[in-house]
This record gives sequence, C-alpha cells and structure tokens, in this order.
Amino acid sequence: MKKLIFLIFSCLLFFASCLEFKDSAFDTKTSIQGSWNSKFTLPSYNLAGGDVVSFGIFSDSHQNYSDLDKTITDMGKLNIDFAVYTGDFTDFGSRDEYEVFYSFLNDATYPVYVVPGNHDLTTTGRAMFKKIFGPENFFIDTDFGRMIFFNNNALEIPEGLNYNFLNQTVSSANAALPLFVFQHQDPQNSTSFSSADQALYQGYLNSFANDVFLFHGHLHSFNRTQLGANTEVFQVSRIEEGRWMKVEIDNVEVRTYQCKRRNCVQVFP
Amino acid sequence: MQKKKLCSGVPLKCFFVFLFFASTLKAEYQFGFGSGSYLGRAQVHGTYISQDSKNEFTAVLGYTQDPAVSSIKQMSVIYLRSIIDPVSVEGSDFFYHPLLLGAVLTYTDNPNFYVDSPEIYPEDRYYDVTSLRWGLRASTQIKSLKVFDQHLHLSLDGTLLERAFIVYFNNPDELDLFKYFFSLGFTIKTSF
Repeated sequence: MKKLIFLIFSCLLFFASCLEFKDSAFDTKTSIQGSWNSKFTLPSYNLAGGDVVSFGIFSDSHQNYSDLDKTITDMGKLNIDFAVYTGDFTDFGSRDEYEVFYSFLNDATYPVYVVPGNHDLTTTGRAMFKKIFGPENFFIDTDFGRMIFFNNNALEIPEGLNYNFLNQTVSSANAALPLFVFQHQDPQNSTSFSSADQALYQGYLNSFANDVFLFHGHLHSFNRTQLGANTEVFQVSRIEEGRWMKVEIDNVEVRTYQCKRRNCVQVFP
Repeated sequence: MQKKKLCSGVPLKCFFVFLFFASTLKAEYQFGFGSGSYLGRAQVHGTYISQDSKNEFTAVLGYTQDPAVSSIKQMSVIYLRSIIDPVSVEGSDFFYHPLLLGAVLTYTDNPNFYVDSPEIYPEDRYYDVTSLRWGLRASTQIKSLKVFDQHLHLSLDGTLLERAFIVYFNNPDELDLFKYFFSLGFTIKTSF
C-alpha cells in the first residue's frame, strides 16, 4: 500500500511539473523578456508614390479579454500596418494581469506599441511595465511623421512627468511632417494636471509648426476636441464591444475613423 | 486609503499569537517549511490540525527576494478541509490525504501596495489597491513519513488566485486564462 501511495504521489509530482511554480502573489518575477516596444521596425512608406499608412488605436481593456482578443483579430483583418494601445490593460498592475495582456499581444500579426495607463502603474505595475515593455517614454521617426509615446499618468509618477522629454522630442521633430502623440490621460484632465501643467503641455504641442494628432484613453468614451490651433485631440473609447480607432495617412491628409468591430465611420476631417 | 498594516507592522507577532492560541487546543501541531503557491519563495509554516484530522489551519510567513520592488514579506493564513478520506497503512501511522480543499489569504506590507499620497486622488478609494489577496487552494499530502526518527509530512499544493474568478465572470469563454493565476508549491512539515 505504501508503495502505491508513493507511486500516486510521484505521478502527481510528475504531472504537476508541467504547471508553473510562482513564488509570490505580489512579486514581479516573470519569464517574459522585456523591451517589447523596441522590438518592432516599421517599413518604409512612399506616401508620394501612393502608399497609404493605416494603424489602429485601442484602449482601456482592463480585464475584458474577450473583446481584446476580438479587436486584435478585427484590426488584423482590416490589414492595419501597426497598432497602439493607449493604456489600462490591467486593474491592479499585477504580474498576472501583465502576463495575460502580453499573451494576447503576442498573438497579434502586426506590431503593437503600448503606453501605460494609470491602473497599469499601480502596485508593482511600474516595475512590470519597464520589465516587459521597456522605457515609458519613447519616440519613433517614420516616413509619415514622428510618433511620441508619452507616459502622462501624473498621479502615479511621484517624480513628476518628464516634460523635458516631451519638449525635446517635439522641438526636434521634422516639421515638414505631422506629429502623432499617444498617451493615456486627457491633457486637460483637471484631476491630474494643474492649469500651469496644462498650459505648459499645450505650449509644447502648439509650438510645433505642423499638425499634431493626439490620441488618449482613460475616460472610456469617444470624444474629439482641439488643443490650440494645430492639435486635434481624440479620446479613444474603451474596447468594449470591439471599439477602436483607425487612422489612415496618405500624401494628402490624415483621416481618423471610429470603429466597432470591423465597421468604421470617418470622424475626421 | 491611509497606510494600514494588519498586524502593526510585525507579522511575526501575529504568527506567534496564532501558534499560542492554537497550542491551547487539543490536537496535532506541525511546523515546517515550504515554497511557492504565491505565499513566498521561502516560507515558515505553523499548522494546527483538528482532532478528527479533517481541518487544518496554517499560518505562514513568506519571503521573496525581488530586486525590482524590494524584498517582499508576506503573512498568510490557510484553511484546508480533507474532502476525501485518508488512506492509511495498517499497523503504521502512515496516511495519504488525496485531496484537501480550502482557502488562502495573503498579505504584504510592501510599500508598493500603498498609495503615498491618497489625498491627491479624487475619491478615497480611487484604486482598490490591495495588499491583501485570496485564493482557493488544493492540496495532496503524505503524512508521517519516518526519516531518521522524525515524522515528516509532505504536501503538494496548488493555489488559484481571486482574479481568476473575476476574469471568468468577465470572460466566460477564456477559461484557459486560469493558468496565469495558478501556482504550485510544496511544504515539508514535522509534528511537535
């Protein structure tokens, strides 16, 4: 009998070895290797030659993984070139939530750039974001303009927003092309930003000599506003029911669409 | 959301208070070590087992080295109930408990789980920031394995954290996500 029990226990140990052994409910130990945002290289585009760039923006999935899955698939079926996620893919910034989100991103057939949301930076989230996605602020120069990815979750960054990064990347961008800014918070959100900070932020964008297209999430519904003369602000809806935004850029203009699953309606111009 | 600690910042005190009260009850007591199952890389266990051997109450102190967020100290309590009658070997004190089910509650005082300045948020509970997590636990145990005159108890444990259930209610079609909220662990204990 004793041998039988040991046999059963050994079998259980053997099968259990297929499952993961995680130390703590609070740690940041993950097997995912980082710098996700810097692993993609976008192709060259010849807008003058007729190329059209198309990309998607989605946001605020929190723990709605069914719609996240569908939206990633839908955007792929519409042949977007890449996508940007504008934050809040977790509720508590925990390791397990980061790993689930990452598993869905890994299934995407196109590059997905990620900026953090306020929820993603709570608890151990900030450490997790740096581990998996890399720097919180970065930019990419493309043939259709500079894309700036900015962590503007002011309440979750004790040392304050990196306005130097924003100022330098805006002022050094090629003004012959438009500027695209991706962040989580509405820059005019009075809960997060003082009037002085709002004015400072707007001043940087308005100093750019070409059009600026700013996309953010956080408030879970679609909205479109203007920030000064040159900046169009798009508030991306939460992902519920497969909502996302599509942007198309050709040699003539930048067009934006509000999409639900694979049905898109133009909202700008 | 002021910084609150369940045990005035000294989980060790709670651990010994638990052992003191447990020792006043007539039953079996175990002490040992463990790892994994979300309760810490290195764990110290103190267990009280009721006289009918059906119910187990365990207090656990856990420690995990994590340079990214400073070291993590955890205090946990576990309740397990034997669901399937133990298999015994006649003429010995050897038992196999095929399945115990129960719940686990774990807490950390790591500063990452507290908001430094709650007054800057628009409402008191702007985040449900929690340093307290719970889960369901299953365990299979070999009891009284005699090694060098010591009675050792081995157990293999699995814990499913609470967010698995939230994910299930929000995404009933995504059951495979449970694996992200599950962890194995083991403990080795001896009676005292």
